[in-house]
Amino acid sequence: MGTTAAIAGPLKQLISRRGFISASMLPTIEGLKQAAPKDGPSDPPPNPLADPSVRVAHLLRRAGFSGSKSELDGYTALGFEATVDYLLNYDAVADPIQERLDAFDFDSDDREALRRWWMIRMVHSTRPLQEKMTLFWHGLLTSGFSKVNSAGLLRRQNEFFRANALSNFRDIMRGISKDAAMLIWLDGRGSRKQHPNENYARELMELFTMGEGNYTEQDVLQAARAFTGWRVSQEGEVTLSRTAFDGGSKTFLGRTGRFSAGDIVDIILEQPATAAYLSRRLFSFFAYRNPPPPFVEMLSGVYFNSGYDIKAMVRAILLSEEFSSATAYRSQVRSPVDLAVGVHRAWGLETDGQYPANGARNMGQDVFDPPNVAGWPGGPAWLNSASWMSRANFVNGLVIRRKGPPATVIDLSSVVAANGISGPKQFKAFVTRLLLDGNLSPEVDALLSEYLFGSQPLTLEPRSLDRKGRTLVYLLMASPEYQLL
Amino acid sequence: MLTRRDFLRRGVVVVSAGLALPPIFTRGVHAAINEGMLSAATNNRVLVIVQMAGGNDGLNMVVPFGDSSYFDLRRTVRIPADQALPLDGGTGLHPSMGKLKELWDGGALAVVQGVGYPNPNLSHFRSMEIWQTANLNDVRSDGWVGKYFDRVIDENGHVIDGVAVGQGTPMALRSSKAAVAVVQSLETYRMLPDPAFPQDTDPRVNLLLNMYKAYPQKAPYAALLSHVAEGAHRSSEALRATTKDYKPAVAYPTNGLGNGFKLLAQAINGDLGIKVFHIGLGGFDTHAGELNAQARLLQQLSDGLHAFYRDLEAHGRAQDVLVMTWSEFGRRAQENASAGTDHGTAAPLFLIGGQVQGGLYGEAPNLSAMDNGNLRHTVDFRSVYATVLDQWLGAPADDVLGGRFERLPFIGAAVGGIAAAG
Repeated sequence: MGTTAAIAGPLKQLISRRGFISASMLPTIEGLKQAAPKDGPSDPPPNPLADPSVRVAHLLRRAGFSGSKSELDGYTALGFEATVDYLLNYDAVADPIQERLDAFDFDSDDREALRRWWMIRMVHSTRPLQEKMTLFWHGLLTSGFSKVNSAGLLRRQNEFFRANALSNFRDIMRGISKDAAMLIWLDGRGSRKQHPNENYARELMELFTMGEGNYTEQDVLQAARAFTGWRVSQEGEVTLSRTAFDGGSKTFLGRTGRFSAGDIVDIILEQPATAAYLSRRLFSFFAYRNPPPPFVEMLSGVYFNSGYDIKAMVRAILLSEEFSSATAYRSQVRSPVDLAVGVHRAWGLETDGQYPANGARNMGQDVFDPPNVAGWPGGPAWLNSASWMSRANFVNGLVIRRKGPPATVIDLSSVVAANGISGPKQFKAFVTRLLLDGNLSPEVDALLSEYLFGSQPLTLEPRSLDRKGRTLVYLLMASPEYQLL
Repeated sequence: MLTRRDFLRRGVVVVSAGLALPPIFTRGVHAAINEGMLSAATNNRVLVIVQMAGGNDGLNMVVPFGDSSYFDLRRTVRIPADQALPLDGGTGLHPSMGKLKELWDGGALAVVQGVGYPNPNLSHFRSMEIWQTANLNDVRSDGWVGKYFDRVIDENGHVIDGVAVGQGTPMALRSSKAAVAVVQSLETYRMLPDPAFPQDTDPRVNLLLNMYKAYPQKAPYAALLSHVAEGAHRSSEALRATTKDYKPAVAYPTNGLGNGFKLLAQAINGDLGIKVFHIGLGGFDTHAGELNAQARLLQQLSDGLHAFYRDLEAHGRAQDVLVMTWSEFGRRAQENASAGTDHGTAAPLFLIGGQVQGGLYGEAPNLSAMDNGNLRHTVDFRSVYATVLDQWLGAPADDVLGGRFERLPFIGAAVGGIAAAG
């Protein structure tokens, strides 16, 4: 069980760095516990997030990919706000992930290897928020293998997102505007001043920054002129051709000048529409869809006051009342990546990346291959008959015995031993808490109890754990509640 | 009265008890006929919608080779006049669509030219919404097929109203009531058991489905979750039951689209009472390097449609099927400097079927009278929908579309439709 070490390491680091507590005190921290959030006016009582351990589990799901038992315990002891800090300040956390990646001989131009490479990172990273933000950027400023056709360039783009995961939106937008994979994906490559290609200019405004309705067709044409001249060599080197670039005067969003690509980005970043759009996208990603307008206004203020600082925006969201409100709890449909990675992290499973990558693909989220230039629509669109069946079959594969290396599937006898589970009722309580905050509707709970403790009741004997224990874990991970985040 | 939900619940028992399937599945249609909502002549008729996602370059699919303006606008991204497969003296199909030309020669292909809508939107996503909701204003509207389901498929409905091949539910089929199965392949469309305990297979699935039924109605996403889970299990049982009786009569192209068409032919032959099928092909957003990319895609489409049609013919079902293609927009008449074309407006679409009146419909947009370099539409896409709805499916088209649109005479044996209610 590597999970205890995995969490203890970073927590120790944080603790010694902050210097306010010693690692040995971890299990008995009281003073750092976050007071329960006040119920907002629209919150129907009761709010499950009033329970500090549920609130931390919610945070780990949203700002990461779910927590293991030891992570849930450790962060609950640390407290909500300190955990937010810890997740945000990941630069201070050692990430030994490279050792795992070095162990694999990935051909840099192998699409399968690329998907596995990222899955290993998401499952095993000690910096879950950095990976979660990398996934956010991959969904927003997306590019896909279907057109880019180069695992090397997509990996470079992914590394760019990771390096800038919580940095400045100006750096991110200026960087992505001359990223080789993006130049191929949205046809910036080879666009010349004679007949500028409109693709990037349009999607930059419609999908990446302002949203439809905040610019004219004329603005698209003018911006397209500023994005001419880019070339991408065979090796993926990006250069600007002075002869193909249109250096003439442009009128864009009411301003006139001899704008370059960077100037266009800067003008876009100054728009209130951009602040509102990015605020809505970030809030929807972490909290819930359709954020309250006053919150969007507040977050837009953070955007401008911090000089487009993403970390400041994410911090404001995670610490907001809205994030910990009853409205936010289980308000999102769990994405395929959240499910595939989350199951692995919750159970502390090992992976070479293949099972979660294939699983997420079957469930409708093939990383590095979004359905179109808008990324994955998400939300209710994650759920249809085929994707739901793939979800059930994915979790099934992790509970039935599969051939493969040890620790890649859920081994309930080891779980029982490692956690000192003393009886079948404790077993049910343990897995229900690990997977679903111990929070099942009474109706669903009654069905499970009848199954477990009715005829041929569950025992902790291997044969019974194999049959009923495994089925319980399957049912919980295929349950309606688990399809939500 | 039996509600759809009750029906679905009972159905779970029926299916897992292994009783005969067909009467259940066709019952919704019979009920609708008895209530006079659906004309009996439409009983076996199905609609297959083929999406060409990304904005297909209509000018290079149905080439106006008789118009010299075309060659002025297209210096490199052009189909030479002698390569187009002529439909008349000045109009021809893309040269990679030879198989489709065969269907044209047999009278089974109608081409509607200049299809679009007023105040065209050049965003992929907004324009797809407009096409799929048939609503130019309201973003949150149900899909146009979803609205049809809501009106003519009764509450006791079928196990499946629509089937979409691919990854997600197309917006066109979206409705709160209809059961739409999304299938990628029938081989993987099943609930996997725990092989160590085969005797637990059915109880295990039933317990899971019971959890979805017990999930509180007021909890988040309750309706969606229970709908999806029940629909998935039941549609997989129904669709897999069709496998036994179907053998393809032709060799389908070995690509995603070909496999998808084969799946549709199998489901149609299975007589499950499914009225609408949806399948898509992506990649038409040809801002750069268009000639090769579009040729490859159009060939896939043409070969796939041809195999599908011939297979249906061999099974005696070509008369029951109408295929309609669509794309969110055509492309700019003037090519760009990346050997591609940018987002545009009006474009042609295809209708294929044993009862289609083959020929050219509508009017090709005038290349000398454009709107800021974009083609002006000559046929509103809702006219095509209106014709399909009332002359093919016998549905209250005006009600579904929220207005009256001109009908086009591309259906040979129109059912005359039901008069718009009220």
